[in-house]
Amino acid sequence: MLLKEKIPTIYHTFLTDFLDLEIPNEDIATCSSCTLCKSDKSPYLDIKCCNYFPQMPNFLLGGILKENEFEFGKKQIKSIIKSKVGTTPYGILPGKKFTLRQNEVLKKKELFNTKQENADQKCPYYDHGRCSVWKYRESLCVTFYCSSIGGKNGDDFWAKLNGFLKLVEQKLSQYALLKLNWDSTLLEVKELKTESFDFENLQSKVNKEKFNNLWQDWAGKEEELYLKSYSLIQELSREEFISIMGLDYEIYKLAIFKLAETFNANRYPEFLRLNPKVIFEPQNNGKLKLRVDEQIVTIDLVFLPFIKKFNGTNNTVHVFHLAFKVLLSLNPVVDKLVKAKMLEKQL
Amino acid sequence: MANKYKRNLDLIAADLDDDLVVLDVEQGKYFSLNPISKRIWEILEEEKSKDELVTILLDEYDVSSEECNRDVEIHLKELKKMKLIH
Repeated sequence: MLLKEKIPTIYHTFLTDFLDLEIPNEDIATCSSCTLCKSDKSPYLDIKCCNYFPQMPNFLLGGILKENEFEFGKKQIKSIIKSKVGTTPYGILPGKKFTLRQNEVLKKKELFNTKQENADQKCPYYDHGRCSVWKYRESLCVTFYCSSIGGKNGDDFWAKLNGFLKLVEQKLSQYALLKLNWDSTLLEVKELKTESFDFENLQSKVNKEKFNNLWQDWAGKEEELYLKSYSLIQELSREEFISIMGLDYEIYKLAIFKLAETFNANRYPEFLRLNPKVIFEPQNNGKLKLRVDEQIVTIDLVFLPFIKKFNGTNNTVHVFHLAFKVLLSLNPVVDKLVKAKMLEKQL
Repeated sequence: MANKYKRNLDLIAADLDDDLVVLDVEQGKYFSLNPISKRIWEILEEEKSKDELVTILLDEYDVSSEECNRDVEIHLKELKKMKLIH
């Protein structure tokens, strides 16, 4: 597919260099038929992978508020603004309470969350299986895949693109505030995080005085600021955008193109098969050693039934989806086995 | 009255023809069932006593009644220990 199918249209004027960049179709992680929801008992059924609070920059929020559609998304934004939780001139960030809970969940070793953990961390813009702000989604929502068809090479590509888009969001949100005559001595220039702000506490109680100090003359006119931010970005030319991004644009562009090349070259083949020379050596600790010549790879024993499915006739995506029925991602294991030539392309 | 067994319906499973991989989200554990355990797991979608289970399996497998009883006892004990059945 072409990258323009992934990049939100608001950026198409600015990112012309990237639009025709070809990358593999991410056939394993399909949102429309959610990979994490292959079992009817999956704890992700009510949420897919949307257990994340997006960090929406001011201009994207303005875009949503301006459109005639996105009723649910608009309603949610207005509700968040009313609560003031996470509501900053730069954009809407996750509140401190949400962030604390999120960090606890992220510390877990397992891939999966329980149903309750997912419910507690549901994206505010998730509306019955659909994203209510899709056209204006933020960087992580553009670039996240639970499982890439390129394995680590795919992950690296998407991570770099995410970093780039995040920087674009940051710079453009700052640009908008500068144009709105924000006090430059108060303008944040580093990456914005929930921890950067102190107007709310861990119980989501907002200190009105600190909130008003943050918003300056715009306190009470949050929606208006977001709408004006959007208009300012809409008026930007590509040259002005490149100037705002500076050297970072060139560096990211080179890196993204290089990673796209590696991603394309290392996409998992349609059919993989286990090297017939592989010897299996079960260990006592629930691990399995696979050995071919001098190469040894150790994996958890639970992966064995799935690895055996790579027999040259089962489609790679199909085997990945089988594993996702029990919320197992085969990516790390397949990457290791392909590198060790224990899994090979079926010719 | 004979004990009845039933599989834990909250668990998630992936059927891999011969094998079955089961995930207990709450425990955070995976279990891999061999073909016999898998078959018992499938039968126990509905509540069954041990004798009912043995009767079904004797029909499907070429084993003696004594061997079947013994194996079913072992598998039931194991599955119960893993909390895969009640």
